[in-house]
Amino acid sequence: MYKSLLLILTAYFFSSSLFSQVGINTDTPSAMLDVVGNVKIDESLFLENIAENQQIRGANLIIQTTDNRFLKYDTAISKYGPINYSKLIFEELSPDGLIDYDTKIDINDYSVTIQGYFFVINSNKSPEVLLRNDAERDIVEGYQIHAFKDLGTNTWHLQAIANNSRFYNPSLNGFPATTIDMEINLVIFRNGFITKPGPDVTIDMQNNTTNRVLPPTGF
Amino acid sequence: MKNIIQIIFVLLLSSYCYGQVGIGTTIPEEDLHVAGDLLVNNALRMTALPSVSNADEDFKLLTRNAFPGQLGEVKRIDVDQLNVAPVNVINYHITNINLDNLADLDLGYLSNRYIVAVSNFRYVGDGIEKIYSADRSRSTIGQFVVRTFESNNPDGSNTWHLEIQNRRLDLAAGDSVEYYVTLVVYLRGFFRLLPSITTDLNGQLNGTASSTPVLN
Repeated sequence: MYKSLLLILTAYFFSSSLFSQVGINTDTPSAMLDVVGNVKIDESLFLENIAENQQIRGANLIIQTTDNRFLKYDTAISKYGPINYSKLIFEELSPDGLIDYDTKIDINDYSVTIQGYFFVINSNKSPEVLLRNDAERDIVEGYQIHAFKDLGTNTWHLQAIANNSRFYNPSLNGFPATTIDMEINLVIFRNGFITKPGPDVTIDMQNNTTNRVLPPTGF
Repeated sequence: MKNIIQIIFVLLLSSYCYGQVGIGTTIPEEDLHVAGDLLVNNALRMTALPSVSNADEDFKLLTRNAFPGQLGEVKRIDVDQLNVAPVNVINYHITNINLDNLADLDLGYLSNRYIVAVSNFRYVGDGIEKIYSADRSRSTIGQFVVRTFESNNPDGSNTWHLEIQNRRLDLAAGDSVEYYVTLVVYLRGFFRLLPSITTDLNGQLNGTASSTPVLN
């Protein structure tokens, strides 16, 4: 009797199949396994039957730190979000626009894009700005309002110009050159989390208006 | 004897442990330490999961596998090991354009897999004459377009295309321009493609959306 009981006990301790609730550091487990404390798993975690979230709000992403801890990702506290937005407000820009502005944002850690902008006259905040090539007034010049990598500073820089053009105030006599205020919508992606900078692509249109290219490898 | 049976009975019915518990290890390092895989059949609840701090950096996003054979396995995403990340930021430089007219460039990104947005547009080259070439008496600045759009291809695929051009005007013969854009290629499954919203403004300056996207 004792022997067989011991055998059962031994078997029980070597490989356990429990058909009841188990508590660790609690005697009132509220789930099949309730661990009041930390859990360490040396290998994989499988969640066979995870429920679907029906709401976006009130949910956090779960992340794994470089030392393997699971944490909830609260972007109000963290150093950065997966995707970040900032409005840059420039006051009293030169009539030539913004030639080179250092955002001090690291080029390895982030990808930076300009996704919107507008400008007004600095003195009276009027949107009636005349932007033109004064030497060739019959020309519609193109804009270059973009973020670019500066390999000297290793940071993202911004440029906001119209080619060969200056800003003028058409409300004043003689249409004088004017300083302007500009707002830029900057979207800043954190690299290495969900964002990856791709390889630069050059497409030769061979003087055609239409073309078909393959996306980069893997897409 | 009775006591032992009682103890076994208690053990079998419900187990409580105080102190550290090891499974597959005799030297547990946490309250529960599983030296191997852990499979949870139903819900996993982490009621006091700490938050990321301002000092944490280079952490990785966790995902759950839906592949048969690895169903439910929690894995981290290391985008540096992947060809395609949830968000891909790719610089394009377009050369040898017919005048200013990049009318339709098929970028090859399948629209059932990706959403493609354009940013950082640069126009590098000669300006466009304001005069409409077919009728040199009328001055217009034309209509300059920079956009991505979904389009069906002759082979039956539907992909993202790029248009950059002045639709009304053309560069003078002999003039040239090159375009630079940064495409942001979003992976569907992480980002949702919402239906188009059409609103008839009936000639008014202001309006209200005819429907609201459902974003709970």
